[in-house]
Amino acid sequence: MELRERDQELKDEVLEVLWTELVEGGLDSIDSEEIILGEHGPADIRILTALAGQGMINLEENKVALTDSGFEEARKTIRRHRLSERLFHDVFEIQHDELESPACRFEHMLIRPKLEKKICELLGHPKTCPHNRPIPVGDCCYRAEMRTDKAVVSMSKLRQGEHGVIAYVHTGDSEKLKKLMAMGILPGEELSLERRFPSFVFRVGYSRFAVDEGMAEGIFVRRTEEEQPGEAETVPEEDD
Amino acid sequence: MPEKNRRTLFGGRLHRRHRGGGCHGDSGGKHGGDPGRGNGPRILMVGNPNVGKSAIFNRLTSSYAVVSNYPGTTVALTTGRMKIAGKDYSVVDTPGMYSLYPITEEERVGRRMLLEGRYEVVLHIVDAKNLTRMLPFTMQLKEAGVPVILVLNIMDEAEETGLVINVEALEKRLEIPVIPTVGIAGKGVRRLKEAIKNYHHGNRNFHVDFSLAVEMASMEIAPLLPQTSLSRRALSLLALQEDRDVLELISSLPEGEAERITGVIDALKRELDHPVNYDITLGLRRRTSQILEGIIQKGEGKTRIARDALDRILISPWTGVPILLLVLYFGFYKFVGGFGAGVIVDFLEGHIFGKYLIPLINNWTDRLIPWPIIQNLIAGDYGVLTLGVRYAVAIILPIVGTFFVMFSVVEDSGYLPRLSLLIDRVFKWVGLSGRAVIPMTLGFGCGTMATLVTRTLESTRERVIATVLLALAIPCSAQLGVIFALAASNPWVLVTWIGTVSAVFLFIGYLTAKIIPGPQPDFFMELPPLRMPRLANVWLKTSTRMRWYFVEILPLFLLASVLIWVGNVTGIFPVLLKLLAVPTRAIGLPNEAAQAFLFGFFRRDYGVAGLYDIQQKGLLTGNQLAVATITLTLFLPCIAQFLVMIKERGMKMALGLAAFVFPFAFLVGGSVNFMLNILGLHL
Repeated sequence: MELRERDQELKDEVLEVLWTELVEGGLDSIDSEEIILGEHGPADIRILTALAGQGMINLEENKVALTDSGFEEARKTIRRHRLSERLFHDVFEIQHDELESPACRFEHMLIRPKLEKKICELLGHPKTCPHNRPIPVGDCCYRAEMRTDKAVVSMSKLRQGEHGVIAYVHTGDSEKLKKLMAMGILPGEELSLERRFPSFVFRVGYSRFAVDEGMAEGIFVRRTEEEQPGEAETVPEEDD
Repeated sequence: MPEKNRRTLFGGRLHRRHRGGGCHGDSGGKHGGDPGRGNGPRILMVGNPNVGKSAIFNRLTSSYAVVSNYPGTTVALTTGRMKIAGKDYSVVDTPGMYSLYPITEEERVGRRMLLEGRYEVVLHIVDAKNLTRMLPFTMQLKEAGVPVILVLNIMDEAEETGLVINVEALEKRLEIPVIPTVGIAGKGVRRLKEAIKNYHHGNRNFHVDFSLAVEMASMEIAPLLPQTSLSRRALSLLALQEDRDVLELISSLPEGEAERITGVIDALKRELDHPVNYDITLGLRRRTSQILEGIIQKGEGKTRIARDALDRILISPWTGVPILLLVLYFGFYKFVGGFGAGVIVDFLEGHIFGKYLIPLINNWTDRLIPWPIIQNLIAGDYGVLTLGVRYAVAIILPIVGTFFVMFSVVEDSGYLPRLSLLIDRVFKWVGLSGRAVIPMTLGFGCGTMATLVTRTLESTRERVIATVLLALAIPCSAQLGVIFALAASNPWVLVTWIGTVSAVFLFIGYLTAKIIPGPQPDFFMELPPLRMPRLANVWLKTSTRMRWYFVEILPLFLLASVLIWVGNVTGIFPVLLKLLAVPTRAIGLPNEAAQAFLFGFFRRDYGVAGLYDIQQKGLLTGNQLAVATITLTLFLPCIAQFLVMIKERGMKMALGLAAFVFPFAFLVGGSVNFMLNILGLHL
């Protein structure tokens, strides 16, 4: 069991390397030497042949290329990796240089799609990792974009009359952030949007506030409306 | 620092004049005064905007702060005296502040008082129904070692929403007195006074835990900080948030220490990728929820269907704008213009002064004083009594008075914040935010007062833009009243005037916003609940503003009369009038109008009232009337507003603005005249 888990971690690492080098680097294939001996990490021939045996990669004359199913798998793996980086960075406030090792361990927890989806929602369907590399889009992100419900969205995207809990306040401008916080607009508070025009009028606690669109954009809210039946998790839990 | 020089130049004099006036609080204190000196121990009042601090202040003391239903209307410190069991205290009310860490300039005023110390007790006034939100500030005060009493104000509204607060338990947990009150009704005030009298500064060891990074940094710099009335711990937290005043304090430390502190601050900033303020706020919130655990019970509250419906109508643009127009029509045009400038002015000016007083005065001066020069000083066309007092009492006072009545009703109802959010998008266009509604609408009453109140705006950029617009395109109620009276017989003049002045407002606002660098202002505002205006409040506000106006304005009227007399006697005025007659004729007006322009500077309304005289004599056509009212509205503000501009914005800016306004007013007036002629229109 131990060995299998370790193998899985190594496979994931190889796939991540292949994703960054091939897909993001725009190459068709890469020298297997680079993966085995190069700077990209401790992968040995065994892992590569195992991956080839699973139909994830093509190994020809020491050239490694991703197959279609390998591409899919690498995409999911890199997504899990970067999501966990975001989680450790945003929620647990781990700094950049210390991110790698906890994120690497945690990403394997995300193999459960339900958990991955929850984390992605919690983080507001982030588009990039803390190092600013793109996070491949997941099903939940599509759904969030299509319906923009359930997920964490900016208050400026809420419909009139919608409720939610403030997830986080992010404005990129600390003066604005201070103003919002000073008014008591803080994570965990319930919020309901009364009006969108001519200004945003909303209620937090027993107070009502009016803000302009710029400030409304910085308040991120998790919707608290009832989950619709059709929307419940349909993907079965998969376990190797 | 040029600002400091300005304060010593002009602060003292204006400061004295505004004291005791109470237009939106006293303008004392901030400019070097020492509020409450020699009146016994000092009690300091702090708290969020719109939690009823002014109401409590009025109940505690014998003096009056203007109670308003608009966040942030106390612009500076208000001081009053209080007696408890024969002992004298002085009470200082501060502008609204959300936390120990000030964001706006007015918050800084109150925080400076906290930093300076020299108070016996600090009353932290909170809105009981929003206790959760406001308690973090109480804890900051406790952590700073400040002797504090928590006042749960507006208890009636909290009860109405169904909240039950266990006051005794809260008192025990916080280890400070907690007093529930209803400020406007005076409930709980006696208990509050007792708590002040019996106050013992108990346990000073109160500590809120923050994130590890913040704690480490705080521990490192706290021992290096100087001893102030706030604890080193509190000071260190402010320093980490890069509070301007605390950083200034640090910069005066010996060199090595100051650098060490800024080093720690920078390191913390690098370590956290969000503002330090965020960590601190969250820490305070966590502690708040611990303390409030089980303290607040939520029951069923009353629903206010009619009030909520009215609220919705006011903030929807489709219904809100028509309502605004109705308010303007009935409030301004009918009440101020028709009743104030019409009925009352006719009675006072036409009957009391015209028929009885003026002939009497002229008669007596002729008889008693043999020298014509002195006769002219007292009576005649420009006499102190016949011109100064007559204009002040018979024309201006009824107009300004009716405006203040209307403004107080509107203000007390809570309508103004709704107007702010309604109009924010339009104001953004001229570089202001909806927050500027207060100084702008107040400008329709008295530009001088409004220029003082621009202090409630957040950035210097906004304050400058607001000052420019107030000086140029916002006519004060005295002008408005006379303009309405002038145009009463000729609606087209009114239409031309409104159109031109609005266009100038938007154009100049847009231009100023483009020219002055800086980011667009943000708009954020708490909406207080609507309420029925209370007669007592309306009376209080109106009377304090009237008193302010009287103390401030009447002497200027008299001074203006004297200056005009001096000008006439020395022969300066005839020369100035001849010079001014050139541009006046150029824009198609009779020579007599030049006189209105010149006197207009001594009081803007003076000028319009002068026009009124000219029109009564039948010297103006419709076109000329439109051109004259437009030019006068845009012309230099009155001497009082000019002085306040110098005080608030500096000599350079005030003079620069004057240099711009003079030709601009004539240019616009001339263009309107030209257009009317070209189009062959006769209004």
